[in-house]
Formats: sequence, C-alpha cells, structure tokens
Amino acid sequence: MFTIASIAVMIALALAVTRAILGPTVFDRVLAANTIGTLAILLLAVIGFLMGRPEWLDIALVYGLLNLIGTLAVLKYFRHGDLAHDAEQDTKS
Amino acid sequence: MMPAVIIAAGASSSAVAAGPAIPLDVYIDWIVHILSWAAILSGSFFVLVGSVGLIRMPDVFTRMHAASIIDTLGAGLLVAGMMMQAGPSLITLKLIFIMLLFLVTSPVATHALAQAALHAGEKPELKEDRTNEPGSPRAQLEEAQHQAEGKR
Repeated sequence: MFTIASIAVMIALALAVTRAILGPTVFDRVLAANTIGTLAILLLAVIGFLMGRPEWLDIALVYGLLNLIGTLAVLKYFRHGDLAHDAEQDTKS
Repeated sequence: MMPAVIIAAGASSSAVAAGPAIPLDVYIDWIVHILSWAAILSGSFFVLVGSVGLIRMPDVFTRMHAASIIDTLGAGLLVAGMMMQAGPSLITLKLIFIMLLFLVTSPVATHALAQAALHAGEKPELKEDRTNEPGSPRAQLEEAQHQAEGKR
C-alpha cells in the first residue's frame, strides 16, 4: 500500500519537475517548486511509514514551513525586485 | 496479512464453539484497514491527476487549479489513510498538524502566486483565444504568422 503511494508520488514529482523545466513564465516555475515541496512532504511521510520510522514526520513539518516561506520570498522578490520592500510606501505615494 | 489473521482467528474459535466466532475487535481492525487502503489508493490517484493537470493545462491560472488538487484531495486522503494506519498516538497528532499546515499555507501561497502573476501582466487564457473562428485573436495571430511566412 505505501509502496504504491510512494511510486505515485514519485511519478507526480517527475511531472512537476518537467513543468519546472518547461514552464514558459517564472510563475509556472514557482508553482512547480511549490508543488514539488508539497510532494516532498507527502513522500517523506509515506516513506517514513513504509520503513516503519514515522519520526520522519517531524522533518516533513519543517519542510512544509520552509516551503511556504520560500514561495512567498521568491514571489515578493519577483514582484518588487527587493526582499525588504515596504508595501505601505506604495499606497502612500 | 489482515485477512489471514481473521481466517485463522475464525477457524480456531469456530472449532471450539459454533456461536458468534470472530471477536468484534478483529472486525473493527479489518474495516479500518480496508478504509485506509481505500483512502491511500484514492489519494495516490488524485496526486497523479493533479500532476498530469500541471503538465496539460494551458496557462498559469489553470495550472494553479490543478496543483490545488494535490494540496487538498491528494494530501488529505493520503494523510487520512496514514492516520488510520497509525491509530491514536503522537504520530496521528503530527499528521493532524501536517494537514492543518496544508490547509493554511496552500491557499496563501496560491493567492500570492495569482496576485503576483496578475501584477506582472499575465493574462488568463479565455475561450476566445482558443477558437479558430475568423476574427478571433488566435485566428488573427495565425493569419499574421501565415503572412509573415509567405513574405519570406
């Protein structure tokens, strides 16, 4: 059961990597990177169960938090060209 | 593995007494096992569907729609199946935390992505862009390409 699930997640990972390589715009690549992070969490959890070591779920949680911060940081960089951009100044001026 | 246990339990107890042979615990274990099988298999299916959509969809916004299937149905069913396998323990609590993390972060990331894409001038592909009728933007584009090739 967990073998089937991990194979499915790995095929999905391969397709997401294909989209990250093909992606015509940068947003396709960010979306593919986000999906790869999600699938990595799932793969960690499933393989932890497969190997009988569910302690890997802790690593999966850390991956999830890093995934969100990474996505938002890259998007902010591509939107403002600057990670320390102050959004309030845009609305004032 | 589980059906063999049930058959063995049923055979041994029915040999002793011909009443209600199999204890209720074994039935409940079996039902939970089947439910977790179904949840994990359908979760794998939805993960595959979402990633195929990620490849096949025409533009960024529809691809986000496909990727959200992985975040909700795929991850949800997989985590639910794993919870049923783990039983009530600390592992189940961690799985609940992972599920809550998905439920909170996935809409945030998708919303930020859509907003950034719109801000950068990405246009959603409309129905008019996909038809080949004369006068539609795609037909005009193809005609322009045709003329450019003819001039060369």
